[in-house]
Amino acid sequence: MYPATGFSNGHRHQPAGTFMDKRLGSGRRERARSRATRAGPRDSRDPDQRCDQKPPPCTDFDVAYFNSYAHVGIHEEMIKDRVRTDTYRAAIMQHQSYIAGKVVVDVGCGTGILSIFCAQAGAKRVYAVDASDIAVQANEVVKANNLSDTVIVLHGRVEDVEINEEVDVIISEWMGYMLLYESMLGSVICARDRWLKPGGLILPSNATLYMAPVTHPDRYSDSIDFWRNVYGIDMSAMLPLAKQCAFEEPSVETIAGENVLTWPHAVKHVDCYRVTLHELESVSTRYRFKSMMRAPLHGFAFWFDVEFNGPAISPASNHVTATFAESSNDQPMDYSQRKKRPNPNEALVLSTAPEDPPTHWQQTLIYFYEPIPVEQDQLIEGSVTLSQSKENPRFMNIHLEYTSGGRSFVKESVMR
Amino acid sequence: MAGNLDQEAHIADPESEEDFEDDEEEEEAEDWDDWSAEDGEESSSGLLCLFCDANFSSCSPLFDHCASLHRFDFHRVKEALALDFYGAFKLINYVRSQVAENRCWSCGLVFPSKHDLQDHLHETIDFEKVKPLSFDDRYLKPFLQEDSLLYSFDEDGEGEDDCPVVVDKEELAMELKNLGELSIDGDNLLEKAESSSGSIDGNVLKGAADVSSSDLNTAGDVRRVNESYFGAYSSFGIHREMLSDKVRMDAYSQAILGNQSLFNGAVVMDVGCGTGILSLFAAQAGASEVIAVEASEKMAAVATQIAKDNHFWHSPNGSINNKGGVVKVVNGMVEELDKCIQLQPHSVDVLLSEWMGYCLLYETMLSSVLSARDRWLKPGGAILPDTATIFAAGFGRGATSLPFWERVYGFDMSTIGKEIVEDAARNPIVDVMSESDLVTNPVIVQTFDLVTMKPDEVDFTASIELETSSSPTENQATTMCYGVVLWFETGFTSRFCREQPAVLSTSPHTLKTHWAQTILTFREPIAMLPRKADDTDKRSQGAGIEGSPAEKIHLRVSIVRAPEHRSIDISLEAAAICSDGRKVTYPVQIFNLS
Repeated sequence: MYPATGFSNGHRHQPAGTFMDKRLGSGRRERARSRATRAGPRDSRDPDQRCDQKPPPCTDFDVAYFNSYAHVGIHEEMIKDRVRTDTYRAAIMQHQSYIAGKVVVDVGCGTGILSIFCAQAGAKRVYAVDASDIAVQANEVVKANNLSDTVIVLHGRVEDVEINEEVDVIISEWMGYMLLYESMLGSVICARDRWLKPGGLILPSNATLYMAPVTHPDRYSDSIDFWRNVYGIDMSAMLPLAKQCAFEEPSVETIAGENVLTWPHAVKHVDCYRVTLHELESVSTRYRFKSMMRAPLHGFAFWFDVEFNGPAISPASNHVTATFAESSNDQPMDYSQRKKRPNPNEALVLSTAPEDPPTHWQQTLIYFYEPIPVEQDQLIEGSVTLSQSKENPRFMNIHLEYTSGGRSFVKESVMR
Repeated sequence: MAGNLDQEAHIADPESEEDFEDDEEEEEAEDWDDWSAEDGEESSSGLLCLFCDANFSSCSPLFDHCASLHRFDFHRVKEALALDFYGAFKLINYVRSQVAENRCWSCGLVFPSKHDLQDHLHETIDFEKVKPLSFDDRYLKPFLQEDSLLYSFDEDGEGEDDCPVVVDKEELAMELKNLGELSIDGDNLLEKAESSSGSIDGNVLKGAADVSSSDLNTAGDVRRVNESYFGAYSSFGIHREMLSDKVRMDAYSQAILGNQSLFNGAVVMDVGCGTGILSLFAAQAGASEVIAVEASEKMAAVATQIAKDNHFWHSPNGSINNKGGVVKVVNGMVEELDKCIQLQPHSVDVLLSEWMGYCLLYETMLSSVLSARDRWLKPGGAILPDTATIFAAGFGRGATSLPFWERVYGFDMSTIGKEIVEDAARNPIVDVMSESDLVTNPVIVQTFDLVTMKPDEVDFTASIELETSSSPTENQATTMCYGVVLWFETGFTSRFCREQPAVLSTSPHTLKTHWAQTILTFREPIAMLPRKADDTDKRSQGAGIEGSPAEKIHLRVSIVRAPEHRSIDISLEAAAICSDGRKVTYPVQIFNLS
């Protein structure tokens, strides 16, 4: 959901607060990624509590978070992501029989595009909910397209707004970098718990986060070797700084299938019908990779896919189950079979994998400060834990342990 | 014990008496040039051991001695505690303070005498205990009156020079003072800037962004912004971007390396040197002395190391090994240069700087360059670049996102496009403008002569007129002008660059640079027609609307430094003027960059 050029505001523009930053450090367009300002702790609510029992207070940080979405340029970026928007539209059309004449809630509607697609598919009523000021524009768009009878825009948090009827369908584009970063999934859970009829449809129905070891010599040399010769000057004194800055935090960038050393491991599987807030607070997995080639190991890449499953549609072959996520990765077959073209009776998949067409999510890379040379068939194993930062629940702590060639390492980073 | 060690220390290789004397003399000349003059008394020869009375000519043997005899491995401790230069500085003072009380620096046990302490000294196992103590700022103050070890411990250790690297004492003292002031300030912003500068990818520099406009003009606020500014500048990423900007680098390298007659034997000052690249070019071009000023502590350290690695660094004791060593890096703001080094006013031949920000003037670094000019530059001295010009041109609909929002998957989302334009009418957009989107000819907004301009002339108001660029004979259609785009050029003119003048341009007509251009959007677009194209329709009252397009747009542009330190305010007052003189003035738009 978060575009590559994070804090765009309008036509490729950055909000005033970051103007200075262009020269001073962050938010540069040429960077592999920029990010919108996301601030704000998740509300300090009891994780096991269901959303409909006690709406948590909206804090200043939440307001700042919502404000960042008022910056319209982000929406331009997301709409222009054809893979994303086309897949959602196709999924809505594929489930037309479940949407026509039904009541839909679009959680985090933004410009309202998904709500409008649902109206087009024949929905009786669509509640388009967004806490950000963009909801005002969404309302204008609905009016301009004469859909005011069908689409009702609610400007507020899903936790606060009132819908006085049961809902048949929940649709949402909630996925963040690394799937879970800054994820709106909590709001989707809230909407589900508050309004969704038993047997109701949720689109997408499930999501999976993957990780794989990667080699990326170009990227490494680009960040590092550059300093060895700058107009004939040896600037290797910059190397420690360069490494620190380049590899300290996760990097959102696009890699290719060739960068991946072996089949990925599923870090976390989310069943949108059953997932609870509690299980999102900390996600942990152990992994065991066997490199398919001899190459320097530069780090790990993370990406996700989501599936649009409905009751009448058979799950995509090798639909991931809860057990897959917990087991170590000795099931390469599952992942490879997934890559076959889905037939019309199979659920649509929106994938952000390196071998698939690029999306604005790209992939999320965690680089090591020093690469590890790896032989073919060499084992790379360890664990990774993603958790809500105590500093700020909208931030994500990543604790990575990895062992290869007899050496063990730990890397901590924060996705801010 | 002490006696033996003295001999060991003084004689590098125990050869003849003659050698010994020669060595000593040589060492004296090299080591004590800079600071013996300041004190009346002759300070004790060489570097004093931390634990005993042993004396050494250089720190390498001193530390070896401490490691073997006193179980204090300086380098290992430094590494274990991850100490930077000042951390190590504090460590030495801390250890000396403990020794003075006959206390073991590592475990804290006190002994009746120094000798008892020396017998006790053991390897440190638990560094956790030591850590907090050595971080105490009181150890920034030298424990011993004349502790030469403090000024030599940060030796290169390359083995290239035989003589130890001696840091300029006064410079160091000043740096420490500044450092002490900074940390005493203890502001959240500095910490935020530090922490975010370590994670620069896309991270908002909270320090800068959070300084609200209600914090006006107090020295403390200026300092806070400066700290965030300089803290951020130490992020390597911007330097990467600037060094990779070929247009920028080519212009400067041409201006410097292409004008060796200007640089040969010259005293050069580089204001805001960053990685020091321009200073190194100047050294390559034959400068006799280059003073590279950098206010960011981290970058000053890096620039120093880079100068050393490339054999351009000037070591204060005038090392014979390094004839090419002409670059001195000074950590501090150029406005406070006299607090950092001894320099004769008006003694600089060439003032060099890459000071330009977005829209030329953002960051207000020009003021620093002018202050350096007024204080340090010789009369008739050269400034590179010596001219700067701001240009403007009007742009059309294609440069906005309006076309995109008109049809999104078949739906009319133009309301969103309008919202964007409204927002853009308050906030400047820094982005690359395609020359095909320009609808008027470029016009000069303001020219600066860096040699003669006064410091307050960085704030200015200018009036310009924009006319459509299509010729009267070809395109009769009305063009909508959606705003103005600003860019700049700086000149390294033949006034100083006689052999090879150069121009650095950030125009949309030339290769893009990391400055891109600055886009200021009108609240309402103004309709324009080429001159003399249509003046028959006098019925409509307005000007600049479809029915009666303007022949030209008159613009009053003001750029002034904002109350918020280092920010600028841009105001635009537009008036559409028809060929028959009818005029419509639009409400002023103020663009905030804070």
